[in-house]
Amino acid sequence: MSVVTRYLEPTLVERLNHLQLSARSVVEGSIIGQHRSPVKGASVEFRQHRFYTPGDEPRRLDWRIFARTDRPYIKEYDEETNLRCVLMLDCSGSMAYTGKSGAKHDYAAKLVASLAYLMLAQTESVGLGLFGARLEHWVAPRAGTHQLSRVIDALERSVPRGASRIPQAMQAVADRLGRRSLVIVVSDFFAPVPMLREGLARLRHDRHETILLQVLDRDEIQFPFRKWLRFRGLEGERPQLMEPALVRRTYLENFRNHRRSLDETCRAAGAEFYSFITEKPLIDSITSFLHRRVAR
Amino acid sequence: MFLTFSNTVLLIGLAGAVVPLVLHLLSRARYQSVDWGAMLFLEGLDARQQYSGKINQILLLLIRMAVVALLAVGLAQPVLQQWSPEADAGAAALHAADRGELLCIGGAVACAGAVAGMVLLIARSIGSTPSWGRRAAYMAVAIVAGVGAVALARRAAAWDVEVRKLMTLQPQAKARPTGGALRPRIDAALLLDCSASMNFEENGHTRFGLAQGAAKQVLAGLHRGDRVSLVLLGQRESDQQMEPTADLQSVADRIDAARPGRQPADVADGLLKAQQVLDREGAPACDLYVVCDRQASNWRGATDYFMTQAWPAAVARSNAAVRLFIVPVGDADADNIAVENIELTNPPAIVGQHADVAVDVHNYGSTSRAAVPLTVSVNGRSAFDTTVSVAAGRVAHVSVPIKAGDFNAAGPQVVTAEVRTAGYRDDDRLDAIVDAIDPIKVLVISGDEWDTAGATGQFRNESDFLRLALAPQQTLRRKGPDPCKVEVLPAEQWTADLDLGRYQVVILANIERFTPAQSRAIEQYAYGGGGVLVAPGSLARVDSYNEQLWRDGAGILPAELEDATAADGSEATAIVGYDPSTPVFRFLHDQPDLTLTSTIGRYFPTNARPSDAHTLAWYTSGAPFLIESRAGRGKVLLMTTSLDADWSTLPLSTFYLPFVQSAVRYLAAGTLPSRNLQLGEPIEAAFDEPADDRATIELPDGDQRQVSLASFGAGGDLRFTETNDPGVYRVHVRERAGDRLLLFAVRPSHEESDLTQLTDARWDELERGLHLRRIDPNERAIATVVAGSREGIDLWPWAIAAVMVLAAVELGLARHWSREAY
Repeated sequence: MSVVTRYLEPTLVERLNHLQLSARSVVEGSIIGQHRSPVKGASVEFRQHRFYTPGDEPRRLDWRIFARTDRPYIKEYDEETNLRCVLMLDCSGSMAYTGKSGAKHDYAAKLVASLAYLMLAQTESVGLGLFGARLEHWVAPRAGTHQLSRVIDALERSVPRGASRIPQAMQAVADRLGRRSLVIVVSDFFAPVPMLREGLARLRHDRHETILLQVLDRDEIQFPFRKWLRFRGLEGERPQLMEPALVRRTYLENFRNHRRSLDETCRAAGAEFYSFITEKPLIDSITSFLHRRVAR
Repeated sequence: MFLTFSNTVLLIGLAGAVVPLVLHLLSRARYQSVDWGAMLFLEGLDARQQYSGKINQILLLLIRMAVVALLAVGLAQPVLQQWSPEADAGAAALHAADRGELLCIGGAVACAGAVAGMVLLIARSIGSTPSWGRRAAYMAVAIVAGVGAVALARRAAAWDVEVRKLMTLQPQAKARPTGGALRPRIDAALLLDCSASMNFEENGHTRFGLAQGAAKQVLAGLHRGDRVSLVLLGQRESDQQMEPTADLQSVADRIDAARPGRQPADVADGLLKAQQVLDREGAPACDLYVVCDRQASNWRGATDYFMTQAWPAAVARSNAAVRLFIVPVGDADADNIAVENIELTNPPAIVGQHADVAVDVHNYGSTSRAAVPLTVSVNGRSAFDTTVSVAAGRVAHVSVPIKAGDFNAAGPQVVTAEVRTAGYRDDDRLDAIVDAIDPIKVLVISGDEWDTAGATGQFRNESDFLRLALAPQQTLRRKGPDPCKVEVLPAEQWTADLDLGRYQVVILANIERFTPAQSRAIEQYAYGGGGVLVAPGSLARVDSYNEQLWRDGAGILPAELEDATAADGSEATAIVGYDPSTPVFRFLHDQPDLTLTSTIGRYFPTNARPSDAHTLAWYTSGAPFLIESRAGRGKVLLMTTSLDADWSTLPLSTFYLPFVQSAVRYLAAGTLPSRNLQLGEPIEAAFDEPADDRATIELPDGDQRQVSLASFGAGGDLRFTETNDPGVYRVHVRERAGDRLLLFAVRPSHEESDLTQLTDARWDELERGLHLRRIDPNERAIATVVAGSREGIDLWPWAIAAVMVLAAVELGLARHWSREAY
């Protein structure tokens, strides 16, 4: 697969070719792939024997057991299926923040494109949901090289603006996903944690595997400003004139508390939570993410 | 205290204090905008969370402003100076007082505002979650600000009182020129106590030595260019001597050369003199330093009038800022024993006769003294040694017998009494001049003289009794000295040719009547200094006495006589009272009842006395027995009963002889000039025929002075006023009849003997009344205090130090809070 856009630079693509992303839990795919499927069928992976019941296909009898024991046993195998993954990208105004290392939205879009490329290269099905105040764009999960084009096309047309309502977006995606899937949400998650909890609960209820990838700028983590600043909200909040030195400690405290709550919420919801900083090269962040995920 | 600045112009730099505020406001106005996504974490920070940070920021801002302001103040060289409303009267003083009041009011308001602010902060913190430490800090600041507000309000009220006082006491003050620039040239007056009490010895030094050291320390505190007037209290100085001089070394030399005098010091008088001298110089600032001991009598002139009228008026007349400092020296020891008086019990001393000398020893201390050695000497030879015990604050009267041989020649005799004590010794010795005379020449003019020649031992008339009483040895034809030489003259033989001047005392005994010539003669005699004893008796015609001698009060008779009491003895009486202060009756000191030994059958009542007459003794009836009056330079005694035994048993009593001798001595002494003078009292003497127009006076210290005599015809008068030292002054004058020596004794001042110290209450009164400042040499170096009091306290080093400290604090706080924030 060879796709080059501003979201998939050649060096990135070359490095991505050496990586692999797999679902940690069982997913339900439509084609045979690398991932285990809850549907048992023809496969090479033996699972168990069970006593024959009328209606079973005779060809699935284990004749060797029957010959030795004179009892009919059915030989069951696990069926391997492909991964169905939905990538959700936050396109709210807060993702438009642009620090010294660039805009968060661009970084997040590259991350989404990279993950899509990675998984499509593994013949997985990949879908895309762009959301802000609602699920604004939906690309249904599919496999194949064309799907990458559709994903990238959607990403290129996305513009960060407006408020962010992640729970509603999660619920909308859950409504669209019939089977268990891998849902990767890329956002800064600058929203009240209780609301996020609702969205995660819905995905968990539908037995989707959920990964939250938080994209932050260094400024948002360290709040390094020193002179008087007028903070204009990117999601329509009231502007505030402040001396950063006076509010930095409280800001950082609020930030840490939010992140801690987010982490705890994810852990409670069985979701994985990873943070990305825009100043760090994307491939390094992805490699680190994958390694950490494997190490878990 | 008030604040002044050496470089007032540099106070413009105070405006720089607003620079940090302006920079702060500018940095706030020139903000940048940023599009921010994480507004979630900034919600509400602009109100509550920023609050504590704002406090820190305001504190830093205030520190920065204070640094700039203090730097400006330090460069302006602030000086804290002593405040004295009366002394510093002038526009500058009023201005300073007004400024002080305004500053204190402003400070009080600011502190009150701070209190309100802190209370508001505490109230707002109740609903929030600031640390308890921060709340405690708010409360601490509120308490400190509250205390400051109260203190400043009280100080403002005090300033207001000072302003009103200035305006009330010296309404012309505002019209005066400004009281000089800061640290002007100062004309100082140094008042050095040179009174006798400064000779008090303590710890091996005299108080005057301590005073000299203190005075030179005052000089050391003055600056080059200052001028000093040295005023020696207790000594006479001319205005020229008190003239201020910039040659401080010469003043120091004069201090070294000064010696305590004998006169008492009067600080109040000295202050007025010094202020008068300084006023002539027109200096913008005058300081008066009084270096003295703590003797209360130094301040006897500091009366209420002086403190409320005279001194304020003197200060008000001056255009200078006047300040008064007192440097007390010596400790509080005030014990002192002085020989206060020497006098003959029954003057005059008669050659060959014993005499009694009364010595008064005064204990001025607060503790009784026992067995104090007392020595009495005559003409330098010890005559009597004894010890005396004196209760605290009391006078002991010691009667010292002088043997008959001690006064062996006529003329002035020096009697000296001396006690041996420690401390103040100038008054331990006292000299007195006693005139010893040959036996008193007494003329008895008897009206009852009839032939008694050859009838020795028969006492029929007055002359018999008098002769025996006054010249017993001669009367009894025995050898031995008599106190008197008595001549008797019958009244019938009293003619105009009689020269009464040859006698020291004339006794008019029972003369029937007087002729006008006799009356004039006796009056002239008395006015010339003679002593007259008038003793009417059974022959006396009252009309004649009153007409010739009384003359309606114009004559020499002390009282007008009335007819004698009844001859039947129905009005017999006795002498019951006498004036113990008169020398006539000092012989009764040990036996006061002696007067009762006689009965007075008849006497002449008196009904009118001139104002100068003095009753010396009286009868049971209250009528006078003995009346004294002055007649010119002489004395007259009127005895209202007879001198013989016709009317009384007086001549037969033990009272008679001493009484008559004492009366004659008393009358004879009236002709002798006083040779005992008080300190400063001039020596005056008249010489009949001086051979030279100059007299030589030998002073107590051995120095000799030549004094011109004022000529009056053939005679010459001497007047010498420099009796500043106690002791014996010997006057040598050449007369045509030969060299003549006169002795005078000058007594020390008893005021200086009283070393009673100033009480704390009196100190407080003086400090309040004169606005003086006391400099205790035992507490602080005088030179430092003088320099400090004159120049005030330089505050610029403190201001610069405060700048550095505040800068360090600002740096530390800024770094701390910055580290805390980033």
